Amino acid sequence: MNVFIYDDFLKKHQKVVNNIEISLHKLNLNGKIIYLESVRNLFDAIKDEINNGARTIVAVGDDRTVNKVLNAMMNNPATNPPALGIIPVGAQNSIAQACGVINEREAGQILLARRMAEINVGKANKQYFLAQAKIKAKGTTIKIADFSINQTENGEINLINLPTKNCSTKNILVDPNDGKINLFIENGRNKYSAMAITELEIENGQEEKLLLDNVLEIETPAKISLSEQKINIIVGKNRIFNLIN
Amino acid sequence: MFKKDLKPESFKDVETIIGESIKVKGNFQGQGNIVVDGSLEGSLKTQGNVFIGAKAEIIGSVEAQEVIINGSINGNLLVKDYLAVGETAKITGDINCLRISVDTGAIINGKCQMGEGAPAPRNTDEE
Repeated sequence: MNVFIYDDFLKKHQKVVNNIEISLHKLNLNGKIIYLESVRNLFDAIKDEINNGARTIVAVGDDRTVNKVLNAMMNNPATNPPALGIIPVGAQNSIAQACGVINEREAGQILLARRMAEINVGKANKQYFLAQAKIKAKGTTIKIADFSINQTENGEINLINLPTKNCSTKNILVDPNDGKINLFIENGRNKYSAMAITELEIENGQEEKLLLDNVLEIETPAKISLSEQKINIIVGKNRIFNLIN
Repeated sequence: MFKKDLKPESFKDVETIIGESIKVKGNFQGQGNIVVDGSLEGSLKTQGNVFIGAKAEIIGSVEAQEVIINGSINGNLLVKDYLAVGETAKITGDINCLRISVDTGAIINGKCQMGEGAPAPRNTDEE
C-alpha cells in the first residue's frame, strides 16, 4: 500500500498536484493521501500506516517535507520498514535531485520502477537528516575522538551524508552507504578541509544554529552520528550516488 | 609514492585534508593519505602517506608510510619508507626513515637514523 504525505504548501500548486494525481492514477499507483495540515501528529499518523502495512511512504513536497517524513519514519522502527519515495514539488528539492527524481513528471515512473537504495541516515541530537547538516565555521568547535578542530576564518562547515549537485561540482566523493559522514569545511577562499568520520560533537560559541537538510535548525552543542537504522529510498537512474546492490 | 607537486584534487587518493585555516588539537589517527596545510598540535599517525604543505605547522610527532614535508614540524618523524624534505621545510626533531631526500634550503635540527634496523625515535607526546 502506498501512503502519500501532502505538505501544506501544495495548496499553492494545485495545478501541479492535479497533474501528479492524474499521472499516478494512470500508473495505477493509488494509495492513501494524508494532508499534513489535517494531522496533529505526523509521527502517530505514520505509525498507524506502518501498522496497517504501508509499503511505501511518499513525501509530496520539498526538502522540508522529506525531512518531516524521514523523522516520523525513523522514530517508528518497524520489522519491515516501508520505503521512502519522493514527488518533488516547489523550489527546494535537493534531496529529490540527489536521488535522481528531477521533477514531479518523472516521479511516478520512478515510484513504479521501485529502484531501491538503502542509505545511511544522519542524526543530530534527536533529529534525523538525510542530506547534510551545516553551520557557520567561525566560532564553531568540532570534537572528534581524541582531537578538536577550529577554523580561524569565516566559512561553512558541512556534514554530508547524501551527495548533492554541489558536491559533484566541488569534486567531493560521498557514498551514502559507507557508514561515514563526510566533514567538509570551506573557508570562503576556495580552500577546504575534509575528512570522513563516524561521530562528532559540534558547538558554536556565537549561538549559530546547525541547519539540517537546509530546512530544520537545531541548537548546539549537537552530537552527530549515523543512525544504526538505514532507510530504503526509491531512486531514479539519474541519482548522484552509486547503488551498492 | 607521492609526487612532490601533489595537489589534493579529490577524495579518491586523499582521505583527510587539514586545510590552511584549520587548527587541530589532539591526537589524529587515520588509515589513508593525509594532507596538512593548517596547524596541528598533537600527534599525527596514519598507515598511509602524509603531505605537509609549506604553510603547515605541526607541533608533535608524525608517523606514516611516506612523508613529504614543505612546512614546519616540531616533533619526531617516524617514516616507514620514504621521506622527502622540501626546500621550505623546517624540522626540529629526530627522524627515522628508510629512505630520504633533502632539498637545498631545508632546515633539519635533530638526529637522523636510516635503514631497516634503525631504532625508532622516542615519541615526545608520551613523555
